[in-house]
Amino acid sequence: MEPSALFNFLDSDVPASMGWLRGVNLLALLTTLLAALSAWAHFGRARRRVDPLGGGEPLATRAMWWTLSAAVLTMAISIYHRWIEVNHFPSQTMSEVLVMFSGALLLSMWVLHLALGLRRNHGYGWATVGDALVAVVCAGSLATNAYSSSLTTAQRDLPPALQSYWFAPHLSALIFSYATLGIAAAIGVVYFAARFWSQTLAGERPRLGRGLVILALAALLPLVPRWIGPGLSADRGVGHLLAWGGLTLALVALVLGLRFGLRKREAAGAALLFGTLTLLPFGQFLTWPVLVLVGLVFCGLAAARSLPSAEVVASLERTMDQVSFRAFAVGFPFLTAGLFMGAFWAQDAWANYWGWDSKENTALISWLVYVVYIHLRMLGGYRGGKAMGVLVAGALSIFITFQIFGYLPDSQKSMHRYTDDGVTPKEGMQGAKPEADRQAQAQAPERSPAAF
Amino acid sequence: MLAQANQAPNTGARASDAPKRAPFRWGFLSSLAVLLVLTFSGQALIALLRPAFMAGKGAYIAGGPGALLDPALYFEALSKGPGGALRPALLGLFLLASLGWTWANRGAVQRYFTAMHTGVVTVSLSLLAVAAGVMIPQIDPVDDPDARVMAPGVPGSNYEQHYQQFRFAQSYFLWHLLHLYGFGMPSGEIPPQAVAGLERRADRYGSEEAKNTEKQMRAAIAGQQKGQLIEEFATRNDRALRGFFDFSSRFELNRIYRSYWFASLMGCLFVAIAFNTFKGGPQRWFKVQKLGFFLVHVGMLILLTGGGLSRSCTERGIMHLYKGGLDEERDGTYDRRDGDIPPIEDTFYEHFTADRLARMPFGVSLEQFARRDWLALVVRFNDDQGRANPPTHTLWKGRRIDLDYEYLDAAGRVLETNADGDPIDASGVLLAREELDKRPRLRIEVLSLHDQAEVGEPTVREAQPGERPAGEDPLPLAILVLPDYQRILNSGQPGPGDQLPTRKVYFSPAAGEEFEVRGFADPLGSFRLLTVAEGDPRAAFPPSEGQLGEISYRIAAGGERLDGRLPVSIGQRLPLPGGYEILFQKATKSYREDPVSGQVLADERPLAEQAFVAPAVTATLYGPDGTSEVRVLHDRRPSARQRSREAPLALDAVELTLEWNEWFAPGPPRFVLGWSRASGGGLAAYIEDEAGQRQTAALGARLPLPGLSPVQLESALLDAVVEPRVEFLDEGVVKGPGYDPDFYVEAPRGVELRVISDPELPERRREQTVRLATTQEGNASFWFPPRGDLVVQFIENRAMMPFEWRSVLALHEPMPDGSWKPLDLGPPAQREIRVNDYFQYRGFRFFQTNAIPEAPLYSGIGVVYDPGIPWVLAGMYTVIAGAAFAFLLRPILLGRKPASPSA
Repeated sequence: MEPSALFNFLDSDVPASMGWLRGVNLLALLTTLLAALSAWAHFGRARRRVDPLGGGEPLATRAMWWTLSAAVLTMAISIYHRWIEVNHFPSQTMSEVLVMFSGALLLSMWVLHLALGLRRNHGYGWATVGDALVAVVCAGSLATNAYSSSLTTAQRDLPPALQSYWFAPHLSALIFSYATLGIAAAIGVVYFAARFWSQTLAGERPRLGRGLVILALAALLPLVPRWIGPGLSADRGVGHLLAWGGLTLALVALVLGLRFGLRKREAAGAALLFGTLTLLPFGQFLTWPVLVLVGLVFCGLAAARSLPSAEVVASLERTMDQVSFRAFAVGFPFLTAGLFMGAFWAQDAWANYWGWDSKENTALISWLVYVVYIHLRMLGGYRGGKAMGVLVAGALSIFITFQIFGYLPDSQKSMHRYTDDGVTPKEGMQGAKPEADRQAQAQAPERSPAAF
Repeated sequence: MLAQANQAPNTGARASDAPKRAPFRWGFLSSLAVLLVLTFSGQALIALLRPAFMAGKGAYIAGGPGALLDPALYFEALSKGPGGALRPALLGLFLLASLGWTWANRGAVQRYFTAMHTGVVTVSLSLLAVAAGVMIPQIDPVDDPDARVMAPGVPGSNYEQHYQQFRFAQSYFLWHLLHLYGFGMPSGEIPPQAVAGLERRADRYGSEEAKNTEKQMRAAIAGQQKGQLIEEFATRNDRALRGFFDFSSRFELNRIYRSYWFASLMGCLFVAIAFNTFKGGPQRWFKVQKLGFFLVHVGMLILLTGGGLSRSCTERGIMHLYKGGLDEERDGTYDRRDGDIPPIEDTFYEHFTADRLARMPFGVSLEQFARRDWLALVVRFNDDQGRANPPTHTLWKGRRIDLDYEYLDAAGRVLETNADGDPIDASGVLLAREELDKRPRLRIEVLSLHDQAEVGEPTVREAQPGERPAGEDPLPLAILVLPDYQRILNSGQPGPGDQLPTRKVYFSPAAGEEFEVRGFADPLGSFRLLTVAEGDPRAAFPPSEGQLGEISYRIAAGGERLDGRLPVSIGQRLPLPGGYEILFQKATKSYREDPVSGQVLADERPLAEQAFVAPAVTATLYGPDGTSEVRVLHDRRPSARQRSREAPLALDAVELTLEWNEWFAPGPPRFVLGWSRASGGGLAAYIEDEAGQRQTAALGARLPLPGLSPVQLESALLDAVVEPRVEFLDEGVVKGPGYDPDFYVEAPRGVELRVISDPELPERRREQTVRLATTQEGNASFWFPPRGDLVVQFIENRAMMPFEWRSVLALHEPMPDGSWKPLDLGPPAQREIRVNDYFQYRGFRFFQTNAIPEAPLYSGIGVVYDPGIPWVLAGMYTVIAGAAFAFLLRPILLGRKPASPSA
């Protein structure tokens, strides 16, 4: 994808909404870079044990806050323009929905950054974590916008079922919850990444074993660019070579790592981790970048012989656990409300609050995963890795509901597939027998809104 | 201490003093095992008890709630099957024993259901069940809850149909799983020959439109290629897929949500939630720490109760209603008052057999129905005719559409283009469109939209100098005011003081060769008048050679279609292609048949004296094999159809159409009307007869023509511009919510546009207001801008989903004598259905489900009877309230962060 297609907000040849969206991309990129600088500055202050309540924030932190705020505002303007351009709440096509999700990510991050007050409450060490989170979320927003620009932006007319007062609140609640719960999962991913690197770099294991783990990780990096979009299809030959080459190298590295002292359990864990990250689209744009980012930080610390102690890491994990729960606590009621608003809407449209459509089912599965999470945490005392693993599973389920659902077997007859780009909507008439009037079948209304 | 107790003989220690065994600690696996046993036991129990349930339903239908209290009813239902009367006895014993055991071990049962592991396992198993439903295509049609896959060999089996759906769905999923990230996926490359078309599209409609078209093309091409690959995958793995399908059918994995084991699992979930909701007593439920969770659990219980009611008591169907129809004979067939619409069986009534809980105790008919499609503009450039599908621009008030772009250089000057329309620089080098600035040459803005438009009399004026595009011929036009003889015939001869009804007719010598567009014949037979343009008007009087007109023929011969025309002249025998011949025998201008006997009532007068009412020519057609038949050729009616009510034509390969030319045929005196620019300015019009006698024809005065018919020349133009006049009868489009009678008015819809040429060039910018209507009348749906290279069409877009559809139902009560009595449910506003706003009556909910554009009287109405709905909705609202309280309000009220681990 050409940079101008992402960042050239002065291009007069694109609709106003797209121009403003490119401005968001620029601000998101800037915020990511500033967040990285802010993390570095906070980390320095943490090492020098500067009083978190005395003195002002580093310049990079203040700039980061302003660019994040500007990104949120610019996104709101972009969405407003899109609303004008399509004459309805802009969440009908997949590109529109993705832009809404990207905006929700930025807004959630903005709210969480204020609400968590990591520097205020926990010091510069936690502020570093907070900055890392801002970087990850802004990068995620940029990546989402980049992907959405590969999809058609054509205006589509709202079918009658979508002209309902439930349209906006249902989608807004769900998209906001997706963003918030996504951030909760992102915290979990940071947690796992920190744990992985601290265990890999610390301890008595031979350097060669550890080095081979890192090599295996690096060898799989060529697979990462796959998510960028169809633009890379022209050089699929090179990409294939790199990918298969990388996988082979990673396997060899892990085997050698076992030979040179890597424990079997860790090797198995690493293999599972790498395999999962490689195969899951989820891993492409969330887990890999986080793993690399956190890895850079820890490798830098290891090089400076300043790796945090086990107690510090444990404390880090405890706080990340609490922060992820807070993010979950904000998102879960909205997920509940959004899920059931879809039922209310379906009831208004077809007097059928739950049709066991695959979109409804995948959304229900996501909700149930979080119900399991609440019970495990509140009744079972699950904390740390166990609890955050469930959060990540929940976010994975949301991702499947949001993006992968169209490929699932039961989705072929789903009425919700109109949001999938390139797929002819299945407009089966509700209640029709297979041998019913063909004309009537061809004219059936699209069913319920995107019950995310 | 335990050892001492054991060693002390005969100490008299009682059993109750012995230390109690620690209660069993449930883990995930043990909880799961018990849950699975409970689920499958429940499944068996439901299957066994189902006959009793169905008997109860039937009794309720027949005798009301009181009939449910008869135990013999259930005993009899359960006795059917192996074991006879022993079955209900054993079942009863088993149930009693289970209840007894449960009561005796209530502590253990409570511990099981309140264990965290049990709760997690129950939710997780439910989650897995739903996940299985997503991974296997479900066969769960809304109107037939008991639908199953039948065995393959059974007559009328649905096995193959469901397997094909399964096969495709699984192949689609598995193929994508094996091609993650696009590995091996077709890329959907745009073929080179389409690139030029995309560039042209960008020039016409903007680069955003072209980019979206490109993306759609890629997806379509890739999708097509992908479809083939998926089919190949499915074929290669057909055996495995079929095995998986049979497995799924065997264990009801393709109808999970209707299966008994899923119902049993939901029952276990209900019990588990109930145990955990009410523990601790009311003093615990309403504490701030617990209230939110209590509400969530109570809401879930209500929701599951409603779900159970829905599952067991719902009846659904679809009614295919046509306006005005009613089930007069109560046989499920809706009778039509309009005989052309065939009766359609109502699937909802089909669904009602004796074992259904609810039957609709009233009749339903469709009183009103209307559908509104999205209003749109389609702009076609003449150069693109047949080569591209122009985009359809949906309209709303304020929308702006920019079209027809020109490219600019860095200095803002317009760049030249080559023959292909590509921008080039001064030396002819091609320039990349993406790097150039551009501006639109045409801008269309929507000023207003209307639901009711009327096409009035068009405005006619002289074209301004330079207004007509170069190369286009001028349009001379005469507007005559003629007596409206049709209205006179219908309403009777006007009295002496009454004004004669008239009509305005437009004639133009440039409109074509047909007499009807250039002139007319007086129905009273006094004259024939033709408009003429430049040149000698006497050229308009052809020598009479007995030619009455022409026939156009279409002959199917040797697999080909041969078309052509022949002059019609009585007594002439002319050859036709394919070995046919035709002999024109006689002609009449007033052909009539006796409506009773079918006998032709001939007018024996000479043609010239006959009234020009219904011209017809009798001809004999000779076939190549010697057969012949007589045909009566009526003016402008293809002969193959005119005898459709009689025996079919023998020589049906030949279709003949007569085009009578009243100007050529013998008839009353002929006159021409001509006009030209007068020497002193203005217009000079004249009437000239066949002998060359000319008289002046004054504008606004009666023409000097013989006979009683007053013909007035209202105006004559040398080069006319005719613009349809569109009037709007309303303020704007009907918008919900709420009933609006205007929605059902059938009328063309209208739009007012502001069209701006060169909108970004102040020195050349020109604006005009254009009104269009969705009707062919007066060509009101088209606008041809003066630039002449494009046409704008205003349409109701029926290709996509409509904007809205509404129905008004009428309900009828069946009377003992078999008739129907309308139920007074209030005005139409009370009985209207809109999408997202259904109509409810006596527990039945009627909602709009579909419509057919080709059948404007048809409305598909879905019906559902579901007593569980209020419960489920109440449960959902309670869950939302509880979740919001527990996670958003509770931390604020408690003044603590929600991270505190309180169980």
